[in-house]
Amino acid sequence: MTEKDIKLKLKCSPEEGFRALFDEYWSYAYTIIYSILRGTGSRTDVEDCTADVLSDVMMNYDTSRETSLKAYVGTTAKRRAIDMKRSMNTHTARNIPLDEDTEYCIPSDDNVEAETESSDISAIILKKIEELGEPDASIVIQKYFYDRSSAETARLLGINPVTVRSKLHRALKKLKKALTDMGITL
Amino acid sequence: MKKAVRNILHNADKKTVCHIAEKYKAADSNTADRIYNKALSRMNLQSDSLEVSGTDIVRRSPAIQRFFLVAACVLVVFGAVIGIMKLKAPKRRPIIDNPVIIATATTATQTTDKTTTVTVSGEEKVSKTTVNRSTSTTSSRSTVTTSHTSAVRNSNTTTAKQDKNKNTTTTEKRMTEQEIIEFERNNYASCMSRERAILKGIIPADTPRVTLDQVRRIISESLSCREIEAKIKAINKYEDLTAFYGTEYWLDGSRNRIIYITDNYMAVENNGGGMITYITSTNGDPYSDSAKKEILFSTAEKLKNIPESHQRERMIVEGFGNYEAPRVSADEARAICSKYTRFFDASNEIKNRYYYPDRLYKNVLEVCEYWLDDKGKDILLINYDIGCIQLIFNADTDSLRREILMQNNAVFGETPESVVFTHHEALIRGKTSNDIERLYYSDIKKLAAGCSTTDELAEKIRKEYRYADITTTSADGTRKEYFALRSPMAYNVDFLILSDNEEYGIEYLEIGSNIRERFNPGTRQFEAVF
Repeated sequence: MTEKDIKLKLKCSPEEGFRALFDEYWSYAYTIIYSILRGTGSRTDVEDCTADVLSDVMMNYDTSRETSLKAYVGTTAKRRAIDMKRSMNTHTARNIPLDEDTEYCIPSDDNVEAETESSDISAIILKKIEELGEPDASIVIQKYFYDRSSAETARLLGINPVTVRSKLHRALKKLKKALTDMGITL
Repeated sequence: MKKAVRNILHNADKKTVCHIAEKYKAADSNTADRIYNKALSRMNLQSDSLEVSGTDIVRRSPAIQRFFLVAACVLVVFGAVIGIMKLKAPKRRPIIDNPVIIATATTATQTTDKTTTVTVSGEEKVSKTTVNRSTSTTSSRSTVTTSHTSAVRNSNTTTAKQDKNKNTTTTEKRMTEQEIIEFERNNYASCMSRERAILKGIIPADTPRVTLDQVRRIISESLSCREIEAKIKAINKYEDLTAFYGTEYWLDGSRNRIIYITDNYMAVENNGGGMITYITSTNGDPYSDSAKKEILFSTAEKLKNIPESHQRERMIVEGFGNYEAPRVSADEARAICSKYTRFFDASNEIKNRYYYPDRLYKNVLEVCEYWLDDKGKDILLINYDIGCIQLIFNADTDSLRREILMQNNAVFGETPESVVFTHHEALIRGKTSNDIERLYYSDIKKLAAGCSTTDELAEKIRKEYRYADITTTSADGTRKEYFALRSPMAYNVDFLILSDNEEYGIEYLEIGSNIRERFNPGTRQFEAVF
């Protein structure tokens, strides 16, 4: 479903519109929020925050706007997650270091090079993971990005947990070889 | 290898995260359903498979709501039908509104070759216009002619025809539609609302205009540009010209004396926000260099007299609210706080319901006040850095009473018996100001270097701050005073803690990293506490 269709649905029938909006973007919002709240909040916090974001978007997004709905969801998710992280850190008497807040962070000259390099490596790794094909790529992502156990990954992908483990093992081997061929040693 | 992959993916940049978000499923369908139901409950919508978890309250919409929905639909359809019927009905004679005006005016018109219009107003100066009928084809809007002109000008309007049918002795010569279009074209993105309304027969041609004295009186009684504009509109419903740059009310029918309103509420800092200007000119161009301007009202000027902390008042002046807007009540605040376990959720809900607090103070600590009444005697106080919500009754008197609704004790490291926002309460009573200079930890170290006893240092700190930010009393009777320090880290709040228990003495606490240091009078330095 395109953004235009979702906007049209939101205008005509808010309930159907929300369903469409949810189906299209919940995973997107969840991932952004998860990447920010990882290590600070529980999965329930991530779910709560995702629900907050999507309901915020539903209630506040102006369908007549020309701006991208996806970008709006992404920005709302990021801001809400940062807010939540700050709040949780206040509760646990910890504060977010300034450099974690990407929204307000101004990279210093020294950091720019390192950040670019790190960004390049993550992009290369992701590309190589994708080249593993499915379901190996999904297994690696679920395991190392979402920190899911083999059982959880198996349930999500609809395969046997033993198969997940063996596929993961093989996928990592392939990934290592591919990276070594490129001159990258991890 | 595994650890490295995990680290790289965990620290992936935004682009990579977005890519993962787009391409891979984030969670299973059960999770999706759970989030969907939570989102619905956030919006107070109901789902059949709504799952109740934890202490979340699920509100089911009452059956009567459906009834109201149907009733609203019927009302809308009924309204639409009536509207269409009215539109299709034959045009009636325009109803003459009787707007509330103080000035009384009389108009005398002579049916001679030369027409003279004399307007006498109780509040305005006498204006006199004399126009030769023979040159009226190119004359301005203020021209008044005899009824014979309707025969000369074939393009005259319905109003003129109606007047003729009624055998009236006078008709106003108005602009034709073509002239209006021409004028609007020359003044880009503008609309001559009054002239068009007259042309369509919505209002009669002699509908009174707002006067300068009326505008001055309205301004003296109003707070915001938006309020003033609404009151002017109540008198003079159709402005003479609306353009992208503002609205013009022509005081005597010509563009030589106008009230000009710019309603750029969003840009107070850049161009003064809403402004009302009285402009006089001699050439019909109020924006020429020769035009004289008198600013009658300026939002920016008005805001200069209102401190930054007076949020609600500022918002009203900026046109975003009104004094009658509802206030939070003590019971409502209690209900909100009892509904949540986390400070963030409760304070967010209060903020969402009552967007502008009456006072918002930011000086290292961020504290806001939502007044329960107009005077600020009873207050809902929220401290965002400590994570505390308190009700304070009789805040400006000695019989002050506090009720803690929500409190995060992480800063105190214990659950104190009482927590008093000493500085803020003194601020409420006008005993101190919010502009006190707060010290850095480095300043405290310098002070410490010159002190040989704890009491000496405590005295110096109290002298600098006058009031502690927070005073707590613990169950064993230990009293601690917390002084907020400025921190080079944007989000950090550091405290200097003076305790009446000699065991603690004077401590420095860095909340973000949990660093705790204690003053040693022997070395005159702060030393780490392990």
